[in-house]
Amino acid sequence: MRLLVRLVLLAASLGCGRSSSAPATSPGTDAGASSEDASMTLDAGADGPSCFTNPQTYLEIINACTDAEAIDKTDDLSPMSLADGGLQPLP
Amino acid sequence: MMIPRVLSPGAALAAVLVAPAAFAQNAPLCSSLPGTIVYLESGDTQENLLKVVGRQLRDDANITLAFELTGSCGITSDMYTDASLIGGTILDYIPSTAENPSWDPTQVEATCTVDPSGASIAVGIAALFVETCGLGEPPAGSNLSLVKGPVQAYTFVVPTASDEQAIWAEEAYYAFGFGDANKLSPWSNQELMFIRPPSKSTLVATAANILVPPNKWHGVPENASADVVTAVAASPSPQPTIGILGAEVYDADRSAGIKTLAFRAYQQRLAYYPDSTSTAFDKQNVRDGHYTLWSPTVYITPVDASGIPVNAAVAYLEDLVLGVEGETPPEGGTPIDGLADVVEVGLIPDCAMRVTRTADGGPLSLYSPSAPCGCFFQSQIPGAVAGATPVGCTACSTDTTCGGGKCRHGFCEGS
Repeated sequence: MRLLVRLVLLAASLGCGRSSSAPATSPGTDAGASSEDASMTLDAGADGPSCFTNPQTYLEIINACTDAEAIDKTDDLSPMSLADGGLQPLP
Repeated sequence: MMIPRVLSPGAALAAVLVAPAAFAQNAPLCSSLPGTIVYLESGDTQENLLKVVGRQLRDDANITLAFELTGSCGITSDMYTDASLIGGTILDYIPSTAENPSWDPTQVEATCTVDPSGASIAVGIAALFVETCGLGEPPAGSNLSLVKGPVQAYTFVVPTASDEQAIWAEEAYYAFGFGDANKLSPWSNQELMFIRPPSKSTLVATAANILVPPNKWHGVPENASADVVTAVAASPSPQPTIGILGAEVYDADRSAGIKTLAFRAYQQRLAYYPDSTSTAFDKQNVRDGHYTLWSPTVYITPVDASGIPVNAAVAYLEDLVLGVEGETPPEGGTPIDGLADVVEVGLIPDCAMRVTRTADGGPLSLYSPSAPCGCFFQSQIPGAVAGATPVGCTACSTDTTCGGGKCRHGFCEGS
């Protein structure tokens, strides 16, 4: 199967899953730094926060810890992406 | 030849003199229907709400909604230019129980004909921010008000037989922005990508979230949401097939051979459904910000100096969908639980939201509604046990049992 699809039940007590690639484009937001009030839940061996327990900013809100069903999948955007991972301009 | 359905004031005289072919149909004059007639234009994503509320307004409040389903951007433009419905235009309305006892919201609406002299549009219901249509505040002197109504979520859907479960914003960008030139599978055949015209909120709002301008989309434009459902479900090639819908349209068609995809926004780590699971109806992820494909509906209507809609029936309609408690029909009748109607059809009352935004595709921020209704929302979603109290909520009849909180719609809320 082309995609490895992994269902991740995210519970704050269990920590959160991780996305399979770094986002390449911002919708032009306040998504920069995490707020000082937001707590982070870390995966063992992770290089950054996987979810936020007290989200304040946009980036924290969309990546907040939740008990909702979440879906992670590995995918390769490189056939379309720019060398730096950014979005190729529309034709 | 396309028959214009609205005209700006300067062209109204000519419109009266040119009777559209629609006159040939046998629909009764809308003005002959009983009660107060509210002429409105609405995005077709709001059809289910209009059906449910329309039936109750006809039965309990002596109000008839006579409406045309069309594109949100066109609606906004019509309201901003004070356009009128042309005489002879065929509108939908919901029959009363007395008129058609067997009618229910799964059936098509009845139709009526706009009087030869035309009709003013009392309210326009767009399903996205007006700014996304390239419009700003209402024209000076128009006395138009923009009121944010229930939240409308949008979804990507695929055939039930598809193996796909999620779509990234990046994947959607390449699929719909490049069409056949997309090198990522499976969505690289634009003949199997069923979209909406660029004036429809479903496409325009989704476009804002995936950063593909409406006029750059590749795919097969379907004029109605129902056509997207049919095309996706009937596709002989499930894997590369995809479509876009309003979430409440999907909710009403979950057994029609389609399924929703979880969506991962730019800068998000995981993909989420609009609901907490693929089978739930709770819109949890829309309400708390994990699912970003949504827009507010916007009710556009003339108001008086106090900001109250000049049409009392429109004011009542707005109060219903906003969940204002204690409102009674302007001409008497039985109070209607409009908030329950909103939830029933898959929309999300503003009072049940915990995040907000100021532009389509824009950032989300935390939100505390002035009169929250989260517990009531949970009590009304499809599958909720009638009369049961949702987990974490407290039923009430007065504020005294709410420990300093407010009793709203039968449940203690935070404020």
